This record gives sequence, C-alpha cells and structure tokens, in this order.
Amino acid sequence: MPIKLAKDSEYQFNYTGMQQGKSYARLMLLPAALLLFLFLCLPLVVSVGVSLTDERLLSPNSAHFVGLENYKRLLAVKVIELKRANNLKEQTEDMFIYQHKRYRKLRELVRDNAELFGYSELTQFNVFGHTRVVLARDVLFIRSFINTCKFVAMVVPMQVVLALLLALALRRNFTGSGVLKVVFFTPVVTSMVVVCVVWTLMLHQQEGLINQAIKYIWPAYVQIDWLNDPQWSLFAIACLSAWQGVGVQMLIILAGLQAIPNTLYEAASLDGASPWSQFRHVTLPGLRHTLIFVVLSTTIFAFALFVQVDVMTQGGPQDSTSTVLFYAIEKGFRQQQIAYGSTVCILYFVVILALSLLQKKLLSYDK
Amino acid sequence: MINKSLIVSKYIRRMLLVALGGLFVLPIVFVFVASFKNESQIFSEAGLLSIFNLTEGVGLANYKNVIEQTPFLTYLTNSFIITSLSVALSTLVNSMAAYSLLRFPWVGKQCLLILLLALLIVPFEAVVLPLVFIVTQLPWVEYQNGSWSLIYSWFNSLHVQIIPELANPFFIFLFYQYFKSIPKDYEEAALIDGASIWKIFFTIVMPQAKPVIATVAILTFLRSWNAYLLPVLVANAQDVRPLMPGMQQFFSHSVDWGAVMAYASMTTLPVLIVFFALHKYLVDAMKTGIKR
Amino acid sequence: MLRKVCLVVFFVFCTQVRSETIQLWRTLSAADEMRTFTQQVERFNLANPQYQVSVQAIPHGAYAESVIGGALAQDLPCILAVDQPNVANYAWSGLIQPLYTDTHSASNLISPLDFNHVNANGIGKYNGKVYSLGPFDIALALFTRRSLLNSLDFRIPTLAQPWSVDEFNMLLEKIKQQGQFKYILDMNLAGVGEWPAYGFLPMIVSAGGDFIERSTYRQAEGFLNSKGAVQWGHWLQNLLDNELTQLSNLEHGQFEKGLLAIHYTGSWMVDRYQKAIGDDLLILPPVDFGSGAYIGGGSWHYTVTRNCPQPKQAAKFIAYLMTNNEIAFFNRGSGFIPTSAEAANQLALYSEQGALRKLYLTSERNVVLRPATPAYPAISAIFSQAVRRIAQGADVTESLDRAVDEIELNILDNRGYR
Repeated sequence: MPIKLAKDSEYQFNYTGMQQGKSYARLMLLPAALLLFLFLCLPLVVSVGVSLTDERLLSPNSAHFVGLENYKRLLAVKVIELKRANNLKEQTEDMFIYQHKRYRKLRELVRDNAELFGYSELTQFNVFGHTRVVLARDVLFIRSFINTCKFVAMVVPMQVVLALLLALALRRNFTGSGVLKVVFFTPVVTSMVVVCVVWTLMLHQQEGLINQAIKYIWPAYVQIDWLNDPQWSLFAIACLSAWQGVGVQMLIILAGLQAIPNTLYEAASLDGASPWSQFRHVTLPGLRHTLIFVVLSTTIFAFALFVQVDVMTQGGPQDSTSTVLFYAIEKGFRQQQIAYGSTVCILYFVVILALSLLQKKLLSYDK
Repeated sequence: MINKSLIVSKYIRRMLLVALGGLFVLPIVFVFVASFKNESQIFSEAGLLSIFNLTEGVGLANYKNVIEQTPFLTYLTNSFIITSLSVALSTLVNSMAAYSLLRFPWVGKQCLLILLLALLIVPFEAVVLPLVFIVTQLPWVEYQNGSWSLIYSWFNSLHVQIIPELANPFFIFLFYQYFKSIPKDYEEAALIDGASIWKIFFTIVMPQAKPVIATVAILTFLRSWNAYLLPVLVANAQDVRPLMPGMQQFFSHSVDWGAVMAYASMTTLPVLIVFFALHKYLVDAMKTGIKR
Repeated sequence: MLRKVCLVVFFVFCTQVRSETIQLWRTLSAADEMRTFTQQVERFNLANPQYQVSVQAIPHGAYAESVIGGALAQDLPCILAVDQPNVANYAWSGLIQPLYTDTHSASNLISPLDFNHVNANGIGKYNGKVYSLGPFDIALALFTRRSLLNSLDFRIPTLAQPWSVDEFNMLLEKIKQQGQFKYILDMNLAGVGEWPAYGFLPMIVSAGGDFIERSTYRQAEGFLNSKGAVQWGHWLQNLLDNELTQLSNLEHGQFEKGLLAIHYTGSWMVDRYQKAIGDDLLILPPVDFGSGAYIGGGSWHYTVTRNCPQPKQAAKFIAYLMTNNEIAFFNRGSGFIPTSAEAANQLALYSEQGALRKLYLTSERNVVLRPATPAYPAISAIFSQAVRRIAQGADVTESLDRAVDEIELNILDNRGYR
C-alpha cells in the first residue's frame, strides 16, 4: 500500500507560540512509542539474543551462550550415499554399506558415525542404483517448513481463483448482489476456532456432512477420514482456510475491477472481442497490480498457519500438518525451549521479510 | 435470439451463484441448527434438508448445559472486558500518535516515520514467543486480599491480553493518512485562541475522523474477540481465559457435539450481529485491513 | 522522599496482611471425592482457626498447564497437588521444596513419624529427599462380565495367574466371533495427558521394556525400543487391524449398556460399574506380557511450593491428611485405594476379608512406578506421541526409535537435568 510520508510542512502547525504544545505533542506520541518499543522492538531484539543461548522458560539452570548452535541444528541437512549390500530376493532384511561398513538399519549407521551425531532420516531416493539418504538434525522442523510451503501452494491458488471468479460474477450490481457479497464475507468475521470446530464435525469420516454429500453424488466413493489421513489432512485444512478467507480477496479484486475503465470494455466489444478475450486482454492486465498484491499478501497470511492446526490436528497425523509456527509454539512454549522456539520464529520472520520486500519491489516496479 | 440465450445463461449463472452462496453460509447455519440437537440427531440428520429438521430438537438444553457446566460466562465476561478496553484504548493510543506525528514539527520525526514503516512488516507471530518471555518479567500492581501488592509478572492476567497489542503501526498510518485530509486551519485558529492540544484533538479532530475510527475500532474488535494465539500462551488460568481458547479447551475435552455447537453459536452471535449491523463499515475496514 | 515513604508503607502493607489463608490447588474430580476432601479441609480449619486452607479445584486437562502458568505468573499456591511422576521435575525446576531432607536437617517441615506408615505409592522422592505425600492410589484393571467369560467357558485369571497375552488375544477373538458386543476392548487409546504413560508403561515393563534406564536416567536406547516394547507395539497394531479395539473415543456408558466387552481402565470406575451391573462385574488383573501383571503406581500427591510464605503450616496440613485415620476417611469417601496398610485395615473394602483386598495388594506389590527423573514430563509427552503414531499405523520400530532419540536429545538439551 502506498503510504506517503508528509515531507513538507504543509500538514504541520506553523504557529510559533506553541512551545508548550510541542511537549504535549510528544506526550501524545509517548504511549504508542513506549508500547511499540516494549512489545514489538524489544521482543525482536530479545529473540535474536535468546536464540544464541539455551534459555528455557522454567529451569533452574541459567542460560549458556551457544552461538549459532540453534540455527545449525534447525537447518543442518546432509546427503549421504549408501550401497545396498545385497539384492538377493530370499534375503528379507536390507543391508547397507557406508564407508566400507555394513549396517542393518540406518539408525545404527547414524549412531556409529560421530560426524552424523544427532541426524535422522528425512527422506531417501534412488539414483542409478545408488541410494541417497537425506539426513537432517531436526527432521520435524524441515517437515514443518515443507508442510507450510505445501499449504501455501494449495491455499493460495484455491483462494485467489475462487476470489477472482466470485468478483467477476459479482462485478455488476444486480438484485441481491449486495446480499451475496455479505454472504461470501460472513466466514471472514467468524472466529477461526469456531470455523475449525464446525469443519471438524463436517469432515467426520462416517457421519460428516461432506462425506455424506460426496457419497450421495458418487455412490462408489470410499469415505476418506480427512483429518486422520496423512494424505488428506493438510488439504482439508487448506479447503477450510480458503473458504474462511476468500471474502477478503474477493473484495479487493472487486475494488480492482471497478478501477478498470469501462471504456476499455466498450472498445473491446466494438472490436468484436469474445468474453474470454475481453477477460484475457482487458481484465487480467488491468488487475495485474491487484493480483500481485493479493497473491503475496495471501501467501504471507498463509505462512502464519497455526490456529487450524492447533485446534484440529495438533500437527498430526504423522506430522502431516505440523507447520513452522505450530512447531515454534510447540517447542518454545509447550516444551519450554524458548531459545529454540525463538530461533524458529526468527527464521519465520526472515521468510516473511523476504516476501514483503518482494511484494514492495514488484508493486513499485509495476508503477 | 442471441440476446435471449445470453439472458438465460445470465440467469443460470446467477442461480449458480446463489446456490454457491447457500453452500457458503451452510457451515455457519449448521452451527446454529446443530446447537438445538443432540448428538445422534446431528449425525443422523445430515442430509441437505434434514439438517434443518428441528422438530425433534432438544431446545435450549445444550445452551443450558454449556452455561451451567462450563465457565462460559466467565470467559464471556473476560472477552467482553478485553475487547471493549482494547477497542477504546487502541483507538485512542494510535490516533494520538498519528496526530502528534502529523501536526508537530520536531527533529528526527522522519526517522520515526520510517521506523514505523519498517515495523509494519513485523508479523505479530514472529515476536510472540519472546513476548511471552518479556511479560513474565514485567511488574504490575494488583489489589488482592485487601492490600496492594507488587507482582513481577503479567502472566495470567487480563491486561496482558490488552496492552501488548494496543499500539499498531498500521493503525497509526491509517489515522495519519486520514488526518492529512482534515484542513489544519481550524485547529490552528483554535490554537491561537489558546485552546489546549487535548481540547483541539478531542473536540475538533476526532469528531471529523469518524470513518477511520470506525475502521480501527472494527478491526480491533474482530481481532480481540477472536484472539487465540496470545491468550493460549499467556492466559491459561480459568479466571482470565477468553472465549476462543476456552472453546478450544471445551472442544478438545468434550465429546458432546451439541454442547460444542451451542458454545460456538454463543461466541459467534455477537460477531454476526455487529457484522450485519455495520457491514458497510466492516467491508471498508476489511479492505484496508488486509493491506497490512 | 514522599515516594520512598509510599514504597515503605506499601511493602509493610504487603507483608502484613494475608498470612491467614493457605491456598491449595488440586484437580477437580468426581463429586464424592470432592465432598470428602472438602470435609477434611473444613475439619482441619475448625481445629486450626489461626490459618485457613482454601481450595481451588482445577479441571484435570488444564492442570499441568495451570501449574506452569502459575509458576510463570509467580502465582502458585502454598500447597500444590502434583501427579506423583512429575514430582522430580517440579523439584528440579525449583517449584516445590522438600518436606523432609534427613534426620539432622533443620529445614525439615515434617518428621519421619508423619510418613513412616505410608507405602511407596504415597511418597514422592527426588535426590533422596521427600517432596510429596499422597493419601491414595488407584489401580489399573480389566473390567468385564462374569456372564461373558462363563458363556465362552473361559478361565477367570487371578493375580498369581493372570492371563498371558496369547490367552488374552484368544479371548478377544472369541468375543468377536460371538458377535454380541459392538466394541470388544477399550483401552482409551485416544486418551491425552498422562494416560498413555500411566496405562501402557506397565504393559511395556511386563514385556521386558521400560522408558529409560533407571540408575542415571540418561539412556533410553535399549529400553523404550527394546524387543519387548516393539512386540507390545505390534500387539497394539494387531488389535487395531483386527478391529479388536479402536482408536477413537467411545461415548460414555458403552460398558454399562452392554456394548463394550472389556474395559481397561482405573479403579475409579469400580463404583460406577458395580452400581450398573452388580455381581456380574469382574475386576481382573491386567494382562501378563511376559514377566507378570503390573499396574501403574503413584497418584496425586501434595507438596509445598518454594515461595510459600508459611511452609510449616502448609506441611502441617499435609501431615494431617496423611494420618492413618484421614487416609482411611478419604478413601472411604472417594473409593480409592489407601496408601498405608493400617488405613487399608480400617476400610471394609480393602481389609483382609474385603472385596477389593486384591486391588490393594496389587497396588502394594505389582506396581511399576514411573521413572523418578526431572525428564519425566518430556518422556511422557514423547511416549504419548509415539503411541499415537503407532496407533495410527506408523512403523513400530521407527516410532519407538524416534521416541528414544527425542528423549535422549531432551536430556542432553537440559544438560542431563543435573
């Protein structure tokens, strides 16, 4: 959003006899300044400081300085190459060879090599008969980060496309369009906790509304246990999040549509352009600015996924819905490792910062 | 001919849109409808029409259960206190700051404004953990057992749910932008007449800023009423817990869906009333709100 | 100057007023138990009018969080009820103070006479010091119907000869084939909080595993992922796969309604089930996974917090609760198992000829205490996660290996909890 700073004095008082007024003015600023310092700046500084220690919320030990250890642990990823020792079919157990030693389990290998201390398996893949294993020191964090990205990749297109369709459909005022706008906006004001609770009920495997509706339309459908199936849980959360948030994006796109001059459409229809090519050549370019804004702000918003996970799944099943913020709260507060949690928060902040800067850049470039 | 089919397709599209709208509010309607049923009815009557079947409902029994068996009323009172104080104070603190920044010349003001712009980017979620750490060390004076005592922690209190989120760079900028559109001549005249800054601010400026006050008030209202993350972290005692974390607790320990839905509808109703009464302002507020 | 005076006045005020009330936090539990406890408190308050114990009951699910919150808010009560396995952690964290150190210590709040009669389940120790005392225990048992076992012609197990796991599996299969029950076995698998550790550690110990090595409390490798523990995990998955038990919570009352055949739960259900099905109720020892039938020991204890301004008085209240008469009174009212032999003898149910004597004996002898290490809350949470993963179908060995790694990492992160 373009916020212009008042560079000149045109908005300032010019009256010279107001020395006393000036100090009052400072007093007016004081509460906000103090609060911003105490609850926004200071936490930022504290979190950087704390992330270099092993501070805990409730512990008799005083904190030790540990340098970048927390960051290293969060981000450490290693790829090792294994050879399969045997491909014989009658042998049921696999054997690995790593640095000329044989192992039955990956975990034995990790425990046996000092340089791999603390690592565990993230994933493995085969390239030309060689098995490569990706190891990480904090597997759950990496997974949570990937989950968050997956969530963004699911929810952003869903939400933006739906918002665009709704905005296009509601662009011209007709009887009831006002009511419909209100209708599509209602979920936005509803608390996320309430939304989660009612969706948990609707997503119930046997008796939930959603499965019963799908079953009614498509009798061959095998009921999915949405929230307890690692394949589907994140998708289910993405659906309800898109449903909850789409109203806002719809409104912004509507405002963007209204800014496109009608004369452009008139000229296009005089040229005999089909509705599709009108959309393609008039609407989309006109909305470019708005869409960039909507996509990036939705991304930033989606990165903060927490409430849905906390209320509905607690990160499960099989860690499939653990997100960056959920992990930070889980570690930093519930397991009281405030230093480690703060480190996660800092990494989260870095991502948001990058996205915000990208947004600023794209938008100013656009002008 | 072409016109006719166009009109027909237009109507089909609108019908579809209305149907979609129906589906959209269905979950929220479902909350209210289900709150009048018992568990087995909620599950057995799950058809598109039968969910509205209330002939065999249990009336207000679920509501009675929630109010009698959970600290719902305590939570409601807490949320009410937190929300109303947040709305009042947030409007005041941020508008004063914006006014002071806009109207008064002093050294370093530009730097302050740029700093504020930078703070806009900082998401609340990123600082919430160190915030917990900080509020456990702050002093507060409290009246208990007939005397005033000093407590070195803000944890488990109502004020910890109000004060940290009061000052907001975005709200300051909203006021700042709006105040720019107010001509300063009248204020200057009053100043020369010897009126105090406070008087000018409250009797001349604020009455002209109603739309932006509405925006800030509504956004603060929604945020405080629906607050979850901060109270989950800093308010885990029952007597200071607000509605949403209370609901999560109730939801995770209860297997009675009817009661859960009754709880949900009671927390949602105030928001919906505010929404339907003020939706024009709210929509404007939201449009600006997302631009954070 | 004025400010200083104000401050002084202020502090004088702070220190002078209050001192009459002693706050106590405990969990909110069944009406019988609460009524009994309230009576005890009232009696104590009448006998000691100079200070009054005032009770705040907090719901079970929120208790642990409330204590952490109270500690962070510096708002803990004087007397704190604590689940026995958490005593070590609270002591290590400096939340609570020892009740009794040794014979020569001047800081003893109570004397050995106050707890010598109490059995192991009723005493919480850490580093050789007594931190907590508890008047009651509960026992785990299998609840089923005599008529069911008779109709299947199945042996009724005893404490000396419990069902072996093979026998038990066979029984479950038979019940399933008979088809009379909607649910066969309920183990409260979706249970949160302390239940998984409390309910399943005895099984794992019987199978030859444990949570952690119990002398230095540093090594989980070879314990939680030992062969026995892995076998237990497979057993659990097997039951789930064959639909002999279920992951989701059952609605209340399925056992009374005759829809559930066997309920694995605590002795707190005895009363309810007895009222519902009377003599048909069978209370049986848990399953033997190899080295006998074990139950979890240690329930809610009372401790004095570190910042309590009147520790002596607080300890006096705890000592009062722990006299044989009060132990007997409490358990008569609540239906729990007393933690002293004399108190047991005073109670009809638990005395030599009592109907529930065997529950008392199980609780005295066949008990597995949860490891007394400050790492315990972390271990319990990690174990719960592992159980949930296993129940949801994850690989057993992998889940337990991962739990082992997490436990050892947690201990390392806390510098060994020294």
